[in-house]
Amino acid sequence: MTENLKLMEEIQRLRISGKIQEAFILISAILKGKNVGRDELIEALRLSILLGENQMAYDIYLTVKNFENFNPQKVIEILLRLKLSLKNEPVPELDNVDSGSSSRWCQSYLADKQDPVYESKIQDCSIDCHDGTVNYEFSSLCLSCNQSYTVHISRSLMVYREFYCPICLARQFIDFSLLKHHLTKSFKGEPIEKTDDYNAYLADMETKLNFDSVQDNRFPILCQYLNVDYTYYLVQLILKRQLKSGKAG
Amino acid sequence: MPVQKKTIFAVGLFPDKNKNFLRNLCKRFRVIMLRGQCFDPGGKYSPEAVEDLLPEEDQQLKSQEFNWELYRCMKFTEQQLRILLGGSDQSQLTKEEYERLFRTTSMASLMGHVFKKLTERIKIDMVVSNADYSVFRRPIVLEAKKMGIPTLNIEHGFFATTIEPSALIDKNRMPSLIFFSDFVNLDNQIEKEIWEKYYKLSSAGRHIQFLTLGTPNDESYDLDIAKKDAIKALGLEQGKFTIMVASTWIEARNAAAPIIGQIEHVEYFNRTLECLRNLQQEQPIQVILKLHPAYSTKEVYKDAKLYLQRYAESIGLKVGLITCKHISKVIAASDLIISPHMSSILWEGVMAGIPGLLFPIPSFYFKTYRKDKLNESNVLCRRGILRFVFNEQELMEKISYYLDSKNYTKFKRDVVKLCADKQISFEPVEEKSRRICDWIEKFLSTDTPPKVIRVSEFEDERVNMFFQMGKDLIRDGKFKEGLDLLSQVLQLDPRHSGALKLLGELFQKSGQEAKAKKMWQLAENS
Repeated sequence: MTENLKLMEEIQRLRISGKIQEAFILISAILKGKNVGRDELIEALRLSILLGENQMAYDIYLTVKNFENFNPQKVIEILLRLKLSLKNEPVPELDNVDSGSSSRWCQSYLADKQDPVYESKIQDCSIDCHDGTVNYEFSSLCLSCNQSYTVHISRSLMVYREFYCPICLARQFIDFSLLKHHLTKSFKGEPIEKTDDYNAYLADMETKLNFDSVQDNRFPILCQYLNVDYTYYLVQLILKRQLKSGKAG
Repeated sequence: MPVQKKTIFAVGLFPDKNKNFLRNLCKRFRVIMLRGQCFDPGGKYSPEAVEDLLPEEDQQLKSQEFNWELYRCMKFTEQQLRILLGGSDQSQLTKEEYERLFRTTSMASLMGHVFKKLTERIKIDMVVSNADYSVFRRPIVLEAKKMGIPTLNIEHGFFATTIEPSALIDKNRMPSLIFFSDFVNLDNQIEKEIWEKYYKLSSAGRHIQFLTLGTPNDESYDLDIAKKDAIKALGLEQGKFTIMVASTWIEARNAAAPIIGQIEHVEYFNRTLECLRNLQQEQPIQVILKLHPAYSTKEVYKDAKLYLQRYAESIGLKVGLITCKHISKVIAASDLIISPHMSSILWEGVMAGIPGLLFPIPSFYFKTYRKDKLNESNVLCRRGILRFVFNEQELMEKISYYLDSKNYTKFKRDVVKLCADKQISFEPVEEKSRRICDWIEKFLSTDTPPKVIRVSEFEDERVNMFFQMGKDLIRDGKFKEGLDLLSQVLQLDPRHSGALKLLGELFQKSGQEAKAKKMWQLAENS
């Protein structure tokens, strides 16, 4: 059971950091074991909804609701999202819950049948560059439950995405205008003026790195192996420091 | 007695682009690849995986050696950060950054190691790579060059639309020269002329010989696809002027790309789509939004498609198709291509008889090239086959220009003339693959193949490069870093008169007359 507890912590960490598939692989491994309890099933239910696997979610719900210690009051968000996703399947446990303690979107829905789409409130960004590809990791705040989670965006800022908050399952959206707003706000002033210098240095270095092919000299052999990927790596390090530093903020 | 096949080590061939080429290669040579890069090319012969040819112990890195190299790489990186960030205290790598460096370098190092071990057992006659600048190819190409094994790089993009150096703002600040292999195979004469112009400007890379055997991509423009068939297959409307709006892939090659470049790329779409909306109200045009193959990952494609759909809808533009696939059909269906970058698709369009407009991403172009020179900076631009447009009005004017059938006919005539002048014609991939294999076979069968330059012969170039870098750093007030480089120059060449003179000047400026005199004397005697 201790092992399961550790795994459950890891699963929750993965879920909040936007790695839903990875979290689901781990929970599937637990579900194949013997000691499957209520909490594991609820986690599996939540992950199935996040992955859009609604039928699987409903099957898990049919199992977990029969547990003696199942308390619908504690999982209102999951049950409501399940009900809204399934449309035709009944979720009677919702009938007697008190919505007062639930997140904002639940209260809104239970009061006047509104299922709002909240803007994903970006708070921070880190950038990873590998083999030419840019991967962005945005730390965002859910305006329904006021908790933070991570959104991964790869290759391009040309984005419109709707998804559920991995914590309270409120509908969220993130798009180019939100990304642009955050990035231009964070990347202004000195870094922008210095970008030309950085770029000249990096382009120069790229050519030199390409042709400086003897060991034990200015360019260590591993930098030569990485070649343009080393430039990507440096770009990532520079941007990280710029976005993090007071100058960039 | 049957003739033994020569052995080729193939690295970084693309399963979605190079099936035909690999099939031809395997037919004619023994081909060895890294297991992770192997794919079935179809046909009778397949590549062998290097891992099947080496014992387990040869497939592992020696941790002591690797750790030392990793330490050097880390220290070097911290030094670079100090230079780039102006002596900032943020130069130390975090645990996370170190781990990222560890992951990539251990992978790259293992590739180099496995290749070296293989050469102890099997004679490798040539290394053939696709994109030799990438971390997934470079360690092997580099190790091959050290051993004097000939290296051939084939490419997967087309470069005929590349801006020539005549448009550079500063000849010392040119785009990086990325090829490294002894032989770099390009598609045609135009590409060769452009790259040779760049490489002539640089002291580096003089060993490279450019070949024009054709770029062997499995899928490209295809003159056998009729426009009406392509339109039908893609579910578009017949009889409308079809405009393809192409995207590019913003590589993280410089500090502006991941933020400014990416934002400008989306804004290029927004601005172009708004123009097309205006045009669609007056003319029977239909629009294809063609995303770069780098968008083909499910999540990336979904995000981008939804964004474009919503944007088009919000401004009232009707879009016929959004795709990142079916390149041959999309080209065949199009009458005009708009692109934000000098991408391959523009050249493929030209070859298919489709004009192209370049609506450039400002941070890419205007920092490097003179805006007023761009429309003269390439043979395609000079002949009016490709045009740069710099704002919405120019974009609208140029689209209208091509809507006039007289202008369109003139364009087609110009393309025919260009192809005749440069001896370029449409060739299927099979023909290109076969020609490359013929060349390899001939090269390897010559009793005295052309001399391949080993890496040690770059020594002089490196000394001069360090000297130049050191001089630049000192000029920019970065004395510590500059002096560090000058001392490296003198370690390599203790009689380097330029470095000695410069050190003399620095000593004089700091009031150390005796040391200054000594340096000048050494310089004079050198």
